[in-house]
Amino acid sequence: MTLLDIRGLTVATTFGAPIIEGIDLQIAEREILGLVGESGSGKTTLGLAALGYARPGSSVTTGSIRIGQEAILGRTARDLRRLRGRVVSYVPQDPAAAMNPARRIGDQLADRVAHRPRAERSNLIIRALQRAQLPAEPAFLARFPHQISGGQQQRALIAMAIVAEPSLVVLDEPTTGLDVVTQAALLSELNALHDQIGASLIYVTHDLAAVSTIADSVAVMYAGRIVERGQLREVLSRPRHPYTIGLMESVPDHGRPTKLRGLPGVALGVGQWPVGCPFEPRCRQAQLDCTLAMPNFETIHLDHAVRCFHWRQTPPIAVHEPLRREQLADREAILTVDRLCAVHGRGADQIVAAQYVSLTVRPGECVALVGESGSGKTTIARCIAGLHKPAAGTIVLHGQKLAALAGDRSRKQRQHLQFVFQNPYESLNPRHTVGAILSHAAAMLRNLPESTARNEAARVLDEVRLPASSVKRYPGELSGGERQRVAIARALIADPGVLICDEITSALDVSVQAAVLDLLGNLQAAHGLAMVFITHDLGVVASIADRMLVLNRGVICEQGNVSDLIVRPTDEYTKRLLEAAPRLELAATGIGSTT
Amino acid sequence: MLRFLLRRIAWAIVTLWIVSVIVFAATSVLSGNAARAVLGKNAAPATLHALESELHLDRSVFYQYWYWLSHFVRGDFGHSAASVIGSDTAHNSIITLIAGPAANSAILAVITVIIMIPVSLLMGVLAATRAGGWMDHVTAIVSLTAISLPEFVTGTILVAIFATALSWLPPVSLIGPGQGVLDVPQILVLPILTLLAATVAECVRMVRSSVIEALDSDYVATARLAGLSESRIMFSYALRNALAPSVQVIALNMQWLVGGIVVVETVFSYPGLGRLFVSAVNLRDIPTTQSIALLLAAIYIALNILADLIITFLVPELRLA
Amino acid sequence: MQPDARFEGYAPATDVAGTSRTPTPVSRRNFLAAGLGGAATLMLAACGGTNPTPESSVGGAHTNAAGSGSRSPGGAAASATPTSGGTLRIAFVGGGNAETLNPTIASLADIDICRSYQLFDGLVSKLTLDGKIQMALAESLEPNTDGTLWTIKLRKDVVWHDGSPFGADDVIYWLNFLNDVKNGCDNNFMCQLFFDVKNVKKVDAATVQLPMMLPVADLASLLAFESYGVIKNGTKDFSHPVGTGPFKFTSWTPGQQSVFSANKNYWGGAPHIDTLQLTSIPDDTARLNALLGGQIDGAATLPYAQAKAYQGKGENSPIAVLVSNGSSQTYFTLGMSQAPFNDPRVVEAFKLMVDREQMLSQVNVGFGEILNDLWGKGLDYYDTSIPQRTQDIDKAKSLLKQAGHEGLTTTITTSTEKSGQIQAATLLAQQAKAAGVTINLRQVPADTYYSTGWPNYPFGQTSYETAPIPYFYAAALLPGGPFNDIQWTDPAVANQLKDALGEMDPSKSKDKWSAMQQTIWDKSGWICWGSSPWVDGLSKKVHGTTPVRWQLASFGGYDFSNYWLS
Repeated sequence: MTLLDIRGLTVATTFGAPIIEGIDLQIAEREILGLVGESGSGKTTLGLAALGYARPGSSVTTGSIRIGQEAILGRTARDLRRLRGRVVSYVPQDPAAAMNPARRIGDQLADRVAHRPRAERSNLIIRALQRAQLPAEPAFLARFPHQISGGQQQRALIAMAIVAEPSLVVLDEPTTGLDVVTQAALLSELNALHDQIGASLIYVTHDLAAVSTIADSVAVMYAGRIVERGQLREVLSRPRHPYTIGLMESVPDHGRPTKLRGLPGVALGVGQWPVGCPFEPRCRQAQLDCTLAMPNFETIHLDHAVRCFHWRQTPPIAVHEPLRREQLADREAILTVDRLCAVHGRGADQIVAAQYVSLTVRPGECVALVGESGSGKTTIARCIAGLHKPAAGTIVLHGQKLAALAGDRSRKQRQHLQFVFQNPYESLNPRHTVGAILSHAAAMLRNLPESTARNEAARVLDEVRLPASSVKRYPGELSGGERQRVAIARALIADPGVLICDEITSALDVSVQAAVLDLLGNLQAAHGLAMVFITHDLGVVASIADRMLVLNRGVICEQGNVSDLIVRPTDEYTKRLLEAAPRLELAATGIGSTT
Repeated sequence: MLRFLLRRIAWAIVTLWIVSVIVFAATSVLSGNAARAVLGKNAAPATLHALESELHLDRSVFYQYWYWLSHFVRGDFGHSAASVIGSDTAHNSIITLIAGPAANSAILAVITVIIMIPVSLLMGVLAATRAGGWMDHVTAIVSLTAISLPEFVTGTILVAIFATALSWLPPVSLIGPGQGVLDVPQILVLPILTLLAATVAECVRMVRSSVIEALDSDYVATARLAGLSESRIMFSYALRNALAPSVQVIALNMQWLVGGIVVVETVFSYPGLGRLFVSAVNLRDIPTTQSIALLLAAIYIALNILADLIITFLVPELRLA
Repeated sequence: MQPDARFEGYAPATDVAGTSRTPTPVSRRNFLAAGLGGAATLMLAACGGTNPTPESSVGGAHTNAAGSGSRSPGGAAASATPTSGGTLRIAFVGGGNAETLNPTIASLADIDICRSYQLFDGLVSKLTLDGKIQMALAESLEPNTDGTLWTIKLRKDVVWHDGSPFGADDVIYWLNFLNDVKNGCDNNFMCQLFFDVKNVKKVDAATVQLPMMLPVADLASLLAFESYGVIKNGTKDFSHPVGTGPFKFTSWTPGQQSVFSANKNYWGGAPHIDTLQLTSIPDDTARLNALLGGQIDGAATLPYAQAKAYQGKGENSPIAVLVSNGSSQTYFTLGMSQAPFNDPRVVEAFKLMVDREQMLSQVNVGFGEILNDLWGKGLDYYDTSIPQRTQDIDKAKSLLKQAGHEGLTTTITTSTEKSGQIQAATLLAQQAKAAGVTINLRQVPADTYYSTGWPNYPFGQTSYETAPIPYFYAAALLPGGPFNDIQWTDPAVANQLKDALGEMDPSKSKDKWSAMQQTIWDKSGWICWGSSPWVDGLSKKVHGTTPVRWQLASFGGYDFSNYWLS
């Protein structure tokens, strides 16, 4: 029985440029649809359209949407208000920002059942909390959003979305920003919840791995159109659109550590769509006809359909060779951290972030620091970089003991130790061009004359696969992936011996992450760079690191070669992290599995 | 919370002490001789010396400051240097001197604030909900004009309209001996309008932009997508969160009032603390200047602490931290 | 328009020597009524004409004006009958919380001076009408032959506001009060220079003998100034003052307002109005607004530019403008003890650099008249035979050259203490350029001008209310006087002045004062370039104003006894 029926839907900006175009999508009752695509593919626009909502500056131009008996489009504001929350509800992306910071959780839940008789309300709230795995007790209801953890915030938003018992829930990237353990727990809870409430779910995400554990069917979006749609197993076992394959190959999988192959090129922005297939510039199997016309949505069998002229030529997903790792143990350590301790705050509020952490990194080696948020991994990285004063311990670079703070270190030492931050939106000065950012770093750290600095800027831009013309652009004009490349280029222009990367891919789409990791791997090989790589994602660890240290509350609980630990973890905590790490659930399909 | 308060009060005392040193230095070291200022140019050298010794002006500045401070902390605010001669003892004590004008200024400020807060909130919310509409444009133009005009210009314009042209209201705040300002309430209207013009405009703009920012937030979008009623969204979601930044600006404007009143009191010859302050400075009347400066600084700091307390109460993250 | 012209123009007192030293008492009321001619129209016409009407003084300094019937009671005032009653409301700049009702320290703020004249009387009047002095609480002032002992006969018909009679004990208490340095009285220096208060003697209930430390030929001219209000025996507190003046104290808040009621038993005749309300409005614009808005009936000291504008409107002006010519003198001071002004040639050169006419028209917007570097033009003792000094750049240059100060650069200390001072200093700097002199301006805050460096500025500006010539020169040039803003400490000059002050022979006195003024004209560091009259605004319903030349300040010298309201 079809619940959601979208036909011919087009949402365009007020200037007429389509954001999504010609969308036909049906979802059955109780179905879970994974709506997958990179940033800018229009997946959130489509999800919001199901609530009759178009972002300011855009509007639905054609098409129809029905949920059950209710038409969603063309309703008055009052009607829509009545439908939202009760027929269709929405779980937004950023839970911290999506809740009213000045209103108690209980009140925010109650706001959403204000239309119900007073007697029913508390029962509805309690049931929603229980289903969302939250404590249904007054103390919890009296909390403000900032008083609960990130995972609880996301569950609270889910509780708010289901409290009025809608028949369709749109979840927009609900696990992005959560660490792997929390994400895994939430995904399994969503499954259980789905069984209880009997609603249909649309799960919007850039991460195929997350969808693979939960969805019944999947729709892949690219440049405002659905390019592939079908039952999850069928699509994952035999993807027909080259873009779907690209997405799948981007997902790092610790059970199947391969060298990741990112999708080449970048997604098209709104208003840049060509006449032909928009994926053609990035496509491995493009032919001349792809540029001439937009392919139709062709049904392959049952409800598996694809928008590609040459889907028959699409090769099955390849089993890539496992990563081979060099033996580096005989090389002399470039960076040694010995019994490092670090704390935050002082007095009674003091939090221990690192306890007697020791590690060594050799040239050409990548050492991963793995742990959940709050495990102390970022603090350790900041201590090494001289951004946080350690309480005890020594850091030795090239046989020289480093001063605690970066300002006290020599320029040579600072040049040799480079840091790439998690958030490329904040770490680049928005008022300087890329060229200025790079040549300034070169001048500061290597004392290069201006002309040489400019040549160096061109060289490192080439190394991070950015066009030379990027020097004239400002960070604001770049995509997230491009910005992170600039941040890496800025580290590279110093000609460093050690690169410290703090969660540098966690803010990026999976496909972009793959490309960045690919780049880092190549750079490491080319320059013999030593890397300290901070992450919570074991899939990422498996695809880039040689050795890993697992951190739990500031203490190293396990360390060793990545290939060993992933197969044979001994510590309980490591095991939990491994279980939680997302994988494309291909085992069920029997394809691509190494076990 | 208590610790926060105690710490703030301790800092307030330190700040006040610094203020007292600065004001003392400014009035005693950097400019003229109080005895000459009090006696005028007719005074012969012998008369000057007599008054100088009475005011301790012949002692070192450190002694003068210590003399003042040691009496001040004991609650003895001293006597107005301007009236030590001529034995006008009835008007001599600073407490007596300040009490009346301080009450008058307080009346002006309190009424202004009582009008300012609800008007700012109401107009700010209206402008925000009709952002881009004619109402918003009118508010923007009026408030920009009001902000850009110095208060003495606003005051003069108001006088020209309501006093000189229409003769509805008195242009100058004259009160007879023994009368209070509340006995002649019509004199309050123009000074309060002038103060409001300077403060409400800024508050409205802040409330407007805070409400717009809140309306633009994820939580309002989420609440809209959850089908909440517009009134609930406006009050419990948008305005509730816009209150903290608004309180900050309202508090800033209340602090501005502490100084703005000095100017407005001059324009309207309003018998308040500001006018007394100006005259005390002109007369090099150090004890009076010190006392008023400290009183104003204390009000300023108290407003600051109060605003922080209210904001702490309004923002749960701060309240429960 | 004859009466107008008479008040307008100025009447030089050519005859210094008095015909009698025994003035007959006169009712102030009668006396003033005589001068009322054309007062109402004068308010608007004031300063309109420039034709001086030479008029011989009827007598010397001690001559009373009983014979002033020669003044034709004129035009408007004669036809309008004054009505009694009502409240006259006048606003001044005020003196903030330093305002006082103590008449011996009234000089700091105009409103204090004004109040002291309402509540109190002096032994003699202030300068009135055409620059003469009248007897007030004193019936007569009689010296011995060498001027070292003065017998003061007091009026017997005066009662204090509380009903007790006025007499010799009050005067003796008052003299002792002035003499006590702790009381900070403005005229305390007179006790140090002349009045031998320790040896004052009560002759009878209405007669006091006051010995002098130096011979004094004209005691009245030393007493006819502000802060000389006689206080009641035993007065210590002035919060509820008891005086003898035309108004009685009712209530007062310092820095704000006072309310006085008419003294129906005033010895000089009761005022027309019932109540006098004096208000402090420091801001010029606010004061004018209050007048235009009808909150007050009179506003003291309008800025010249505004006064000119309202004068220009003539009959259509909403307010009347009252000009008190000669009420104030503004001049530059050259510190004669400091380089370069310790060289007399430089001093003379500076006096020759000034274009007085230009000063007057640009700085005073045409109000006032040019002066001749001498104090008190038009008052008794003033020597009109000394030629008017005019600009002579060539001579100034050659004097500077002789003194070795060609291309001199100097700095004048100036402030906005009185309006026009900065403009005057700026204009002087321009005029000095012609003589190759560079004058830089150092501006100090208005309220600190007199309390920071004055009277020791090497080059400054001073502005005084007009005082009798003997009073002024004594205060400025005798050791211990407060007004020596040119730091002229030549003992010969002090002795010459003492000699003139003590000369009892009228004809010799005239010669000595002429010689004294010639010395001052030749040598002093005063560049007295013009008079800056006080200009007041009045509601058109106020009548009986007397805009007269030699009143000390606003509103015809703060004398409201003839004012009436329609």
